[in-house]
Amino acid sequence: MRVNSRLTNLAIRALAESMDVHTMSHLARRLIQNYDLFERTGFPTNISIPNKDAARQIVYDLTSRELFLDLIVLLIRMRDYYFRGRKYRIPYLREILIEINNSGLVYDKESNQFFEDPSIAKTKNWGVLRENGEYIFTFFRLDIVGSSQLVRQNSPEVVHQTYKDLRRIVQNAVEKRNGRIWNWEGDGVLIAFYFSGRNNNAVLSAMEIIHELYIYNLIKSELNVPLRVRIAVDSGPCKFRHNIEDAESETLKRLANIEAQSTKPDCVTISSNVCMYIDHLITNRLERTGEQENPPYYYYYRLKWEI
Amino acid sequence: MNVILFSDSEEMKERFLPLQRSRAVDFSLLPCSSLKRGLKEAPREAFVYVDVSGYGRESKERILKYLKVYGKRRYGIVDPEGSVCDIGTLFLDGASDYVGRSFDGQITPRRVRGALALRAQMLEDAGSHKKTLVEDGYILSGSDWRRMRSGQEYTFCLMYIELEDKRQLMRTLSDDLIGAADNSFRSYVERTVTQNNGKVWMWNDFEGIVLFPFDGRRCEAVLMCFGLMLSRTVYSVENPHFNTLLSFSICLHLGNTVYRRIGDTGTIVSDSVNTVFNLGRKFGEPGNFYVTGEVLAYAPKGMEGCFLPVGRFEGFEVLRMRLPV
Repeated sequence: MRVNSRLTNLAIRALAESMDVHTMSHLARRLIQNYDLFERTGFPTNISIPNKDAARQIVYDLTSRELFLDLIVLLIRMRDYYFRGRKYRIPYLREILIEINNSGLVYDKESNQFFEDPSIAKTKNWGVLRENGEYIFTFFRLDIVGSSQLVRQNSPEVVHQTYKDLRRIVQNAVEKRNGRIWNWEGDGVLIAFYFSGRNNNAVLSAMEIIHELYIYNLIKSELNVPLRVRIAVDSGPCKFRHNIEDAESETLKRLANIEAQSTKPDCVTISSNVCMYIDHLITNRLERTGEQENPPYYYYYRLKWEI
Repeated sequence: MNVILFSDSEEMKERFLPLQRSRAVDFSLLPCSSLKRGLKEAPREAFVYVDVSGYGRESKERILKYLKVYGKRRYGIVDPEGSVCDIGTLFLDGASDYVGRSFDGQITPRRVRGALALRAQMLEDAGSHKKTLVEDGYILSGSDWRRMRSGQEYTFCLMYIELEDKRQLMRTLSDDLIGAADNSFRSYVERTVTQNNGKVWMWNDFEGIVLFPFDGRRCEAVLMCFGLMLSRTVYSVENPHFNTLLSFSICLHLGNTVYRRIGDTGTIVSDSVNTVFNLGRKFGEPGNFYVTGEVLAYAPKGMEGCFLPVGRFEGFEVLRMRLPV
């Protein structure tokens, strides 16, 4: 995010007018380890730094290290919760948030983070995740069952149209719940969810895709067999890489494993990591595979019809 | 037989040689630029070929639209460059012949007779379909709301929807929460039906009637309601007002009613509205989706197997959706 001069000035005033230099210094050390304000400003240690100079230096230093948004998040937390034993009144915070909103980012209260406004942009990193930074994601992986057979047995136009329709269904289900498509690899797709409610959102998106595909097969599909998918949902840490093929993560390996080995066609398999955090209304609809005493065990969702 | 070709291409003239030579055919070749005037002056029974390669991309689209309106007449499209992507639509829009890029023969009188017969058959089929609908007492309202006038009677697809747990909710929630929950449910229904051209017509305490225009061809509302039934869990989780799995019942029926604007419906007397209300309130079991046979006949193809016959109500066959368990 580009920090313009108005935003910089507002942040400087917000810092300078809400706390003393000592607190500011502590705040900066939360974001940059061993941050030495005297060294940065050039003031000798026996002279007190004027509030405004200290604030300006801190804002410039954090901005140059792309930590401006983290500073604002800290200020919001100081206002809403506690910092070193008390709440702070932070002036200009409203104006700062409006200015950030105008630049296309919105604040998510639950995860205490900014992310891009989905009505303006949808990028793989929600506009805020840093390359190589490690985050906890909920992933789902979707794979088309028997895709090579579909390609062999149907005309290229039909297959092309079907894949296009599937893409539309997936995109619609995922993006309205703030998920991001990280990678389409022909017959499979990897989707990431971050921010609050990520487990619910991932499972609900997967369920919606299963429903939409059922309807698609019923009335629209031109394939000679139904279009079937396998979906696996798991969560865990992963380093964010813009080129997802560079991301080496145990979570992604485990996810691929669940999808390939433990997921039946037309099913969503959900790991116990995810299941723990999802709404009880969803868990009531799930069945379990394997024994609880003998891990790994998974939960799965599929459409079953009364006879 | 009168055949007119609008083309600027000499090669096309060659392809239509058999028609020029035939004594049975009165053939004329006119330049592309004179299409509109030529069509106006052409005899009603004439079969017209239009060579679309004689037009630029934009005017080609305009000409195809113009021909669609002209569709009550008989015409074919000549497309030596193969620039028309969706040939099927040409036929749906009223064309009855297409001479494409890969065609390297000549247009014979026999081919034109075939095209004429096809068009006659298409018009006859459409006519008999309309006649059946009129005999059934349907007053088609068109595919959207543009031609609908307040105070006039039309055929609608009528949807009744009711939240099953409303009594329980009204007992357990405060007045404010009941209001919020009702608004939330109504706006969900409204959002969903609006995407499918429907309008919430009457609404009162977690139940309402929705109208969908009916054009005599398809009733997409069946598919929409099917989707609603499937996504009950998803909706319940994403709407925290309720904190319980919402169960609603839906009934769809096809029938006539006088249309009045929302809020001005208090004095309406309609058999069909009564039927759909009673079907929902008296016949339906909680949490189910019912359709009358009238509606199912116009449901998208492939949906028939999703419903089970469950009896008759007020003279109508009633079917229930097989539910996910």
